[in-house]
Amino acid sequence: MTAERNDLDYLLAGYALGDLSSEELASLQHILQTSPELHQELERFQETLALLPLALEEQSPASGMRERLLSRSGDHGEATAPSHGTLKRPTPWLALLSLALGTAIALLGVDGIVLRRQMAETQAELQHHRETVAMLSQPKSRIVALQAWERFPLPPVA
Amino acid sequence: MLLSLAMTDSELLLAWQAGDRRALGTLYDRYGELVYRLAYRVLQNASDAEDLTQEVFMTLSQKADFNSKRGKMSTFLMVLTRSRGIDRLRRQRTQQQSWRKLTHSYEPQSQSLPMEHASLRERSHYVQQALQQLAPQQRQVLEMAYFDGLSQSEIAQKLDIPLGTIKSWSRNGLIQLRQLLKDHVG
Repeated sequence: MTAERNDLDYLLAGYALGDLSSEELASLQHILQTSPELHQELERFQETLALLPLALEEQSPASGMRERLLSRSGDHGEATAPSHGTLKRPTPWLALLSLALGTAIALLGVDGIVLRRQMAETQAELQHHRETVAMLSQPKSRIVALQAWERFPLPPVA
Repeated sequence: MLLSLAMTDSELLLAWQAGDRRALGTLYDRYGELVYRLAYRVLQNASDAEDLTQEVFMTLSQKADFNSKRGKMSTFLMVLTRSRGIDRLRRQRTQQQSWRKLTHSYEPQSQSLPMEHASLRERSHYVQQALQQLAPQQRQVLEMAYFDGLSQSEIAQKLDIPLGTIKSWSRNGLIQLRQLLKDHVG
């Protein structure tokens, strides 16, 4: 194997391992541009690296893992493809929350009506007092103190 | 559609992507143990390994970028499993220290290969034999980089060995591995 080939393999291995310096990366990019067929060689280095897991000791997944995966795939399908034309029943807590909110809104509405009525009555009363004050403010107006006489006893019925 | 054990991986993948859970079961029967093996090695935890294994197979249902003409399913699954596993490791480690970019994803490009037709156990044997022929330090740094997701700098720091030496060990180890497995890889 030539020194040039050794250098090229060194760059290809470094690329597959992801540890090329910026200078090495620039050099490899230049080489690949001039010799595109080397892409295949690069891929073989990458694939060699991906064989490493095969050297690991066999591991037995926990029993039932296949079933759990298939079950999860079913859940996934339902989640991504909801059935059409059917409405789900609301959950109990959601129904309770809706009821509480509805009641609160109704109470607030009644409260608002009462408040508006009280305000209208207050405004009418205020207007009446204003008219009284205006009348008393006239120059010709005189204030006369009136005292009620003692009521005579009614004559006895014949 | 009737499922057959003779169906290719691509056919099974298409069936699974179309929602056929039996196809997923067959894919799992073919590759589940291998995916779990790698997931367990990377994450060092049975529960996390199972979760990652499930995630990988679930991802297949949405991932349409597998092309059997460009690579084989086992390689595709190994790349995907390692990538997801190292991502999880990095997220865990990020909580303790900052990280430099270390993973290097790629798309397998090879054509249908002789190793694809060998049984999983036979293929494992080939790779184990090849790894045994590497110098121990070459094997160690390759495993630290691949399975533990460590950068060359981090390996140098952990082993207290100059960075240049680590690069040399890992690259020469991979070159030798490539030679040893050339009859099985492209």
